[in-house]
Amino acid sequence: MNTQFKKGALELCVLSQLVWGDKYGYELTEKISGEMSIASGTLYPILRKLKEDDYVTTYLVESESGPARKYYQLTEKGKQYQTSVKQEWEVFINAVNQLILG
Amino acid sequence: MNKQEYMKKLQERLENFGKELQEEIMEDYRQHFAEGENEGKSEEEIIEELGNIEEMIRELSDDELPEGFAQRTREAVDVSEANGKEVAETEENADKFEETEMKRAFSYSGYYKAVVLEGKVADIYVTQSENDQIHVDYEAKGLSSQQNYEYYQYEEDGAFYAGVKRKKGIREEGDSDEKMVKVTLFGRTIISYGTIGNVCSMGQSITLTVRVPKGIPKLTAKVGSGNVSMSGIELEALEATSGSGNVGLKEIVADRMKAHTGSGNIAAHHTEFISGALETGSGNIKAEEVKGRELRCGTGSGNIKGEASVGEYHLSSGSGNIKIKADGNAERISMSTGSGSIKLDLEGVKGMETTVRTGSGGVRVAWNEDEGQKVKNGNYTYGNGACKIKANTGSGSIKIWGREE
Repeated sequence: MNTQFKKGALELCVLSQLVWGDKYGYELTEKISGEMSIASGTLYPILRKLKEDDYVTTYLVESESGPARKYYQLTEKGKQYQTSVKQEWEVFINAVNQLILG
Repeated sequence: MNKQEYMKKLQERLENFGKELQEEIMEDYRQHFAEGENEGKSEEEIIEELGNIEEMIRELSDDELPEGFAQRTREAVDVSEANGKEVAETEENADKFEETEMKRAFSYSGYYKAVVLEGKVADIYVTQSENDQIHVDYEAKGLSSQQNYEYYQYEEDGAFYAGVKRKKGIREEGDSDEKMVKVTLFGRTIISYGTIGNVCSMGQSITLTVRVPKGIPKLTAKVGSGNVSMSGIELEALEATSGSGNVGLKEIVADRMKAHTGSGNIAAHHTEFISGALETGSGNIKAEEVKGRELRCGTGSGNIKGEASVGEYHLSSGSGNIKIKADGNAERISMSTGSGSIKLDLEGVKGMETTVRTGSGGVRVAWNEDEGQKVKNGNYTYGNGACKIKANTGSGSIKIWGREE
């Protein structure tokens, strides 16, 4: 798969997961790798990039399981971005479907 | 490879990157191991899940330049400056076109067995006419360079047709506007097909407002990228279709009602019908205060939410949630979703027979009580078992609340 495409799709998946509430890294990777087969490790650079672009912020919460959990939270900018990319995605899927069906 | 070796390799591969980034990724992986171990996974399982380190490094290299790649940074800056210039020029050109607005009104009288409206890129609004005439208001706003559409109307075999079509000469032949597609995804143009006039472009909008007489046998409204909205109409059959826009139905009384959209949402409010079907490829469906004999809702990935007084419900979603409120008129309710959750509130029934099935979620059923009982997949009967309920989800949870009063 084209890497830019895959990356964009994963970004959208991550942001969309966060629409429903803050999640920590492991929780996010489990959720996404539960739906598609990807190396969970590749999601961490994507999360880092989203943070650098101010689409998400992070905060730490102490955890019983070991090191503190890093939670990701969608920013206002991230919410808007998610909405617009989701729309693009829907138009895209619809267009592909139309063309596939001739 | 064990955890120690894996982490050592990770450390080595991260060496070319900045110190802060190295520490952050290492910490993410340490946390991942801790969480996985806590869930009882073995080191091998976690390593397999995290996957190939090289793959992650490639992902990282797209955004972060390892030290010694300064040359590439400069090039990137040059390109973005050039792009900036181009954008500015395009905007300047665009300013030269005039902003225009066109309004026209038409009235038609006669008995028609069907009214067919086709809007392409336009939005269509339909309401009821105060007399037995059909009234159409056509309004186009936008840049003059984009006025590629015009209004048309004709009659054939007792049916009335109106809508907008591409102006002659702008497109060679054929009525294949639906196939005009320009799609951008993640900031890139992925598909560009046909000439793009006013599909989702700057401020261009065409609106068709149509008033139709009461009781017409059939009304069809179809658009490509526009929205369809209908309110306050009584008629026999209604069909509203949009390719990527939304469909809204309000205060409609119809024997047969059908709404379909490829990727938009569908909303029906205060609407009565004998049979109603609401279908969308990826949008959400909302039905509020609807009454009827049979209601079908289907969405590929959206949610279904409703408050309805209907005899039979057929609700299905590929991956969304289903949340529905029903009453004593309900005889049969079937709900299924691939991965979403299902919640049903049933008030004023003498009893219910529930068949529940979920792949991995929990199931709770309540009969005349506030807190539901946890139950397994299977078949359960309450009261006289009059309302047959089927709930099926791949991985979501199921909650069914039934009440006699």
